[in-house]
Amino acid sequence: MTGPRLFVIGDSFTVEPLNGEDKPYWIKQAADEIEQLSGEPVTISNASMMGSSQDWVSHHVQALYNGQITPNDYLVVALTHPNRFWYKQDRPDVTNPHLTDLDEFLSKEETRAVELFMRHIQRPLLDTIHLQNRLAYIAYQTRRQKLRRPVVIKCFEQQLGQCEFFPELNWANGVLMDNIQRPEFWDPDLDENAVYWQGIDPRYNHMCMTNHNILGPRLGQALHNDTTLDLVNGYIAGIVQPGSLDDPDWVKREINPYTVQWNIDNDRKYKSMTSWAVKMGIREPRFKNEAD
Amino acid sequence: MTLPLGPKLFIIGDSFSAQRPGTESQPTWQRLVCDQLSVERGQPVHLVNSSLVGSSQDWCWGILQEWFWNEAIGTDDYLIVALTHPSRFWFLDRLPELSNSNVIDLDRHVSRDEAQAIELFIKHIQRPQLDQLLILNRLAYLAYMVGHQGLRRPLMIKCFEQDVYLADTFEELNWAKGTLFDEIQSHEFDTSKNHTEDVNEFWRGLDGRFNHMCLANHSRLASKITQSLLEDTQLDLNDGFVKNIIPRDWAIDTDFQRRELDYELVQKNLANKPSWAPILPWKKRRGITSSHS
Repeated sequence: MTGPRLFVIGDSFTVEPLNGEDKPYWIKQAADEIEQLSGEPVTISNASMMGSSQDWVSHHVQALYNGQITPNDYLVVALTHPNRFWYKQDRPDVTNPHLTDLDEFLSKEETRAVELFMRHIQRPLLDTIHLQNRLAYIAYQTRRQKLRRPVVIKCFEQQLGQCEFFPELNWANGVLMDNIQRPEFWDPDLDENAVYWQGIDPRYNHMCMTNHNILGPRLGQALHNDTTLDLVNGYIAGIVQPGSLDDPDWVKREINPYTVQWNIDNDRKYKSMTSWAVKMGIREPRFKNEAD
Repeated sequence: MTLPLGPKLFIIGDSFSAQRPGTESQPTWQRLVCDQLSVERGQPVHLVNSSLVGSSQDWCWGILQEWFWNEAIGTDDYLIVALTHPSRFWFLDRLPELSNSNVIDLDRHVSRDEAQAIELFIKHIQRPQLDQLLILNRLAYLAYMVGHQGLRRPLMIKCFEQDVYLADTFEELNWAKGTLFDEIQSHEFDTSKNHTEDVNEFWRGLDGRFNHMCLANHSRLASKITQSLLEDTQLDLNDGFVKNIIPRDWAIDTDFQRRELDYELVQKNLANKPSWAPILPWKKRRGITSSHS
């Protein structure tokens, strides 16, 4: 018997654990919850990509609505920041102005194109026009194909305009970045890469497993019952301390030990984590000590 | 946003639908459609035309989003969308009319850095796959809002040939058959004339027609559009338009100018004739080609 599928499209907040690791990340827990509630096996189809843009999500959504998704299936759309832009067709993962090494993935002239685009062309009004069109596509197809309402999750705070009121979309309450991932730090204002991780973020989907365990079942319930997913209340704050990496049990329990080791092996501690856009003077520093 | 009371005809688009300031009372298709709708309905239908020469689809959708957000379009109103070319991009916020890289003097209106930003965007970032993604989302937005607000089906007129992909199956949109550029405007020239001739060179400046069409075709187009709006039927741009209407000696044929063209604009063009020197569009002068083409 084939049960419903859980389609997930988004960025690093929803991406599957790397290298095929079988980890009960929040999406897996959501699928398990739906299985429990419905009594049917649920298959996950996760097309999320680290570093991707909303246009990448839109690209997958358009394919999904072209005969793939059925009224029996579930959909989660994780909305990354609207100012990410899919610059190069074959590099949908190079979209974030805050990548530390954006210029390493592009030619010199392409990098200049991106820089000038950010300086002169990209602006919130254009981002919001595109965002509303993208969300309307999802709302339209949901209505047209009589599908379950997708749960739409903001990974980052953003201006939604009128799409916030589209009744075909089941908007989560809150923002993953602001309500879960940042509050996990003892001091959320410090540069996380330098102070806590000594390299790149080793958490699965930028959240400790304690919060995966809360978020996953909640997502499953929101999908199955068509209720609002709450990202604001009941999550654990202050889990990550400056010395957390020194506790092997904590590392094993809460984060990805392979990434911790990768940071050590690659001396990430000593490498600049300042974002490309900050280095170029295009964007303001995100943390107190980012530009140091 | 203050709008007149009573039924309205909303129009959004580019130079195929924009009215040059001061020419609003001329018998162009927008005016005629409004008048014909008023006669048919027995009450005045007000024209709300926000079209802009040289604009892009994104700019038009910005206006549409504003209209829908304010619920400006009512169930008793009409909407016409003149769909410009999807490759136009609203590069600079302050210059929505400067979206077409074939504009002759684009570089006169922007700074050096801005010109380079546009050039590199066209070369390295813009590509058909992205255009396709954006156009499908735009049209879905429109179809969604029409259904959501329970409005009449908008009349969708392609100004230029373009692939709208699955959007031609969106039942909330009433697609016209054919394009204004291919079915009407380009057939107006005398066939014995060389069609590859630059349009600006031909007119000694800006296109001397209202909306790139002679008034004889405005009249025909208006009747067809009115019927389509009233009956919610498909508009056919393939048949019923006058061809080869522009004589080779248009520049000395005053009767023709007065009858078919934007006479005031034509006179300005002709007054500038001695100094008119055709120049290549900015994109060609710079040799800009997309790395995706």
